[in-house]
Amino acid sequence: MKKKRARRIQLVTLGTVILGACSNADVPKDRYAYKSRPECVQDWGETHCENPPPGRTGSAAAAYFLGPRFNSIVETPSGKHIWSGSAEIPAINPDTGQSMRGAVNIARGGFGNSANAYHSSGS
Amino acid sequence: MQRLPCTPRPDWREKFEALGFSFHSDDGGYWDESACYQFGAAQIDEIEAAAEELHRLALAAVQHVIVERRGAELGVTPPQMALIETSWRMNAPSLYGRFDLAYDGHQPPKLLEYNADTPTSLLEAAVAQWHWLEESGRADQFNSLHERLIVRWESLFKTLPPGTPVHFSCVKDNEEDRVTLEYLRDTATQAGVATRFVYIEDIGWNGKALVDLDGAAISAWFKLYPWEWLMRDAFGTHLAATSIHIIEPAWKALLSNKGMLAILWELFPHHPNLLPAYFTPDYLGASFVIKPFFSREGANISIVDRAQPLATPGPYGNEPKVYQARATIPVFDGRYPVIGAWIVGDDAAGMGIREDVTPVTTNSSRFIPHFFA
Repeated sequence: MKKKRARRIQLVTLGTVILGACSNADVPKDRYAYKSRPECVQDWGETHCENPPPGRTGSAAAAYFLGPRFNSIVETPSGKHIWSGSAEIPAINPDTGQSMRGAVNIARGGFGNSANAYHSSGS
Repeated sequence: MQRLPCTPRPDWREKFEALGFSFHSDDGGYWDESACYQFGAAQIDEIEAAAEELHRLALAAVQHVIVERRGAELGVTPPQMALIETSWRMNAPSLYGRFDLAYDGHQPPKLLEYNADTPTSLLEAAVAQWHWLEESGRADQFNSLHERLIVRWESLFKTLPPGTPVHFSCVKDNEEDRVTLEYLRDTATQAGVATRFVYIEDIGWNGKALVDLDGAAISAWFKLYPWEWLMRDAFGTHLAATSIHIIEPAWKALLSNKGMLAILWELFPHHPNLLPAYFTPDYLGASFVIKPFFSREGANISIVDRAQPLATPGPYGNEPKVYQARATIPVFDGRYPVIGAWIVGDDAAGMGIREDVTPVTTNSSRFIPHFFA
């Protein structure tokens, strides 16, 4: 019969999924967060960049390097003191005129609200 | 078509959990292998042919709604219709869909509804019941879902630049959706597609593109999230401004709309695989079914019938509705089975059976494996 398979089903990733991982719930909400230390250092200099917190290896948060907290005064690598901005209004680099990048100058949460009133997205 | 008693495997839970099928016992027992359905080969051929025929009718109905500008009758706004029309004219490809059919083994299968946009119960149909078949020693099963999904992924993204990742998204806090999504992601991976995951709520907008948590632009996107919700959400207005490849494509929003059941009957009256359906109950006599356009998982379905009235709860009560003639759903041991006939690409690819103690299949209806001989 043509419907029957000639081989076994192989799954390569499904059984290894850890449900609940990869959420931005782990991204700090009160400070800049970067995927690499060089990106952070470029914006803020070595003294204002922290490595990921210890003891959380394997979690999404472990991937983030931490820049300054929002709403504080920070000295930039060129020696200028600036307001560090907020999640909604990131600071401007006084030397380049560009926004400090981090992960914060991106609007999020614009999808998903319709799901709140219903049980499932599936059908 | 028969419902047979079966002896459950003593270790089926552990085996399914090893596969990643973690929600097997939700709602008091979702997977049920204490019974199974047996079909004859000719019956399977009939279901397969019906699925491919309904797929053909569905595509013709989309073309009709677009050309005749009938979106308003389906509650679709002009901006939404523009997205739908663009995707249709670009031949944006589809991955899959599931027709829910009433079938008793004697009369032609009848379309109850088409889950064209975000069909689930996929891992159960593609993988779980296949493992059951192999261990049960039964003859055969209508099921080529897994390999057809892999082949379809290969063809869907061969036109993209090499290495372009496909982002996969679903809502948070829904295990069934997440597992279904990860299964689809697994089949894409086996097709050689690079994949990434981002929850739908975590997607960002950087002023030019939708981005993931790393800030990487999403250029190809599989979303297990209905188009009607996507278009209503705050970021929905950005969709027209991007060139993102979205699976399922926007034109599937028409086919997942139950108002299309009335359009289908209008275009193909008395087709053997369709039930009479209208935007008004006036032509259906004293017994019919009322379905909100965007109802999901059997919510807010009403059966108008003196002998057997039924109304399911749900949040869709205020939506426009379609009125459909009642189908003859057989009853086996007090259970009503509904056939979920899968389409992958343009081909019938298998089926799964959900059964319930009422004629309405809901999110808690059980999945029963099948075989044919």
